[in-house]
Amino acid sequence: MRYSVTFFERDFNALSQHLAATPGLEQAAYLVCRAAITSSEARLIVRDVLPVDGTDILANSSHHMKIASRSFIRAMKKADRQKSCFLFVHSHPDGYPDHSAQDDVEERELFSTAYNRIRTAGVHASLVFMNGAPSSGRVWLEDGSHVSLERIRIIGNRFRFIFLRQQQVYIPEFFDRQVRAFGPDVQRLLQELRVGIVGVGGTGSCVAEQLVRLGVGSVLIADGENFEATNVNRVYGSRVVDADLPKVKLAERMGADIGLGTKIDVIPKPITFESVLSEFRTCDVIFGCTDDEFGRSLLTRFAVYYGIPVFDMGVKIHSESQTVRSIQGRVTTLMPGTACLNCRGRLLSERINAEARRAVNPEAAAELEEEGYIPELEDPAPAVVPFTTAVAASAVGEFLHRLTGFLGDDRRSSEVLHLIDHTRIRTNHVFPRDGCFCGDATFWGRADVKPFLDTTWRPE
Amino acid sequence: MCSNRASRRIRKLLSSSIRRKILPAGYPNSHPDMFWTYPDVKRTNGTWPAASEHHAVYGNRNWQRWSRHYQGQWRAGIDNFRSYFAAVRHEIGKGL
Repeated sequence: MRYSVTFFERDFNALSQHLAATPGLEQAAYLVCRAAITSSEARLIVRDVLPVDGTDILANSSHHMKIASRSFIRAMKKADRQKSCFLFVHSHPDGYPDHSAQDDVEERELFSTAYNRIRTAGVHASLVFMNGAPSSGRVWLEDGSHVSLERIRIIGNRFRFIFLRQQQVYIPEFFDRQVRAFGPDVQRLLQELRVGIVGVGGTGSCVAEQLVRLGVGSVLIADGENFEATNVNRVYGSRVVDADLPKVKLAERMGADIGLGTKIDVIPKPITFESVLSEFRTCDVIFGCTDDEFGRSLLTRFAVYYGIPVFDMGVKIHSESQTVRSIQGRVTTLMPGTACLNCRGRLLSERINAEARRAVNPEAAAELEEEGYIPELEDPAPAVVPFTTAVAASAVGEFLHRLTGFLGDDRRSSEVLHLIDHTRIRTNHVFPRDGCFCGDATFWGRADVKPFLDTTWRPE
Repeated sequence: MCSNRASRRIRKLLSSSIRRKILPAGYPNSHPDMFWTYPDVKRTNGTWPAASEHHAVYGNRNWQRWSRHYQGQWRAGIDNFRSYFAAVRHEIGKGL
């Protein structure tokens, strides 16, 4: 079992500032976190930072701190009320990076109280900050033992990953040209990441090939469709003879053939099944390469509930009488704080509704279509490989920017528009609409709830 | 109308088998369609309100079906069961 913590950038910055407010004096805070628990990872997603201050600090120096018990009891109550977990953070201004022997003694008691007072199913944890960043972290289990936190994610304008268990990651020589561009740390980071790909058609297969060649360590791919020979014009790694094979199998084969040792997990079903989308809770980031609005609407929610950024992309060729009128591509970064696809007018409830009804009961949906209650199925859209490739490459570029900042620290855009027929690229940053769930912080990092994503699901 | 009691009732309803009938897969991005009443609701002069004389049996009850549709009106990301209930109240309140 891997244990991790996800911060949203603004919470992380507030916490760092609080802990560094009095140089040379130890400071502390409590974090209220929701939990996302899969068979391989327990992820704590920070939703609230409660600084310890004022009269709750009974004494503090450069190497110790005494806190009134009412302060942590209050924080534990809040965690319990919000069906959340409890995380204790304190600073080590004297430069000692690990938990001290004194921390061991005091935390054992603190976390025993946490397990008594908080009924939430999940784990509680503690972090040590040194020089403004986490330097040590551990999860306290109910039996009084503790396990190291493996990674900390900070999601915002940039994505930062901090690995607390230092491991020597060997960089194979294949990546030499890339290391020359971004340096060895980025290459090591890519090797540690698990990246999801939703849909492996024109854009998704291209994203998959690029992620493998970049040296991403682990990839999770879901697609419920079988390959058709008419897809060969744009699907990377496909051959005419592959007709009727699941698309995910082609992506898996392509990844294995490249031979970089990438771990590739595939699910031959769409993410509109709860069992499939819930597997993506194990990812660090996700590429949304599906062309259905039902799936996109779920990814939109998923990005906000789990703080797992989604790079959603699409290409639209408008052709009349076999003459191209326009070619537009889009890469939208979905995460808490940026406008979702609903706010951007990229999803229509009618189409989501129609696709969901067709997925659950095609015959009943056909009747509704006949009666005019749901929109008709559209003909297959035009698709051409250079354009799907350009947009897929742009999405992977956005991902690299969030990791490295190569497009500049002041870049705030969360969408890139490719006006391909005008050879123009535009960027924008849109804030959530009033009343939309994506702008309401109570949904940010809401994590595991029943039903999953507060959504009704198609039968498995 | 957003009291805890109301939201508990909504949650209870969501977890029941009725949910499958009222809410399509993908709700709240996908919108509910029509609504049902039991017992029957008629105008004071004894006639059926517009497009609501059709009945359907669910869970051993004969429900009156109100053919009301939300195409183009449902705002994914914003609307939910509360807006649906508000629309139901509004429709019944019209008395048409």
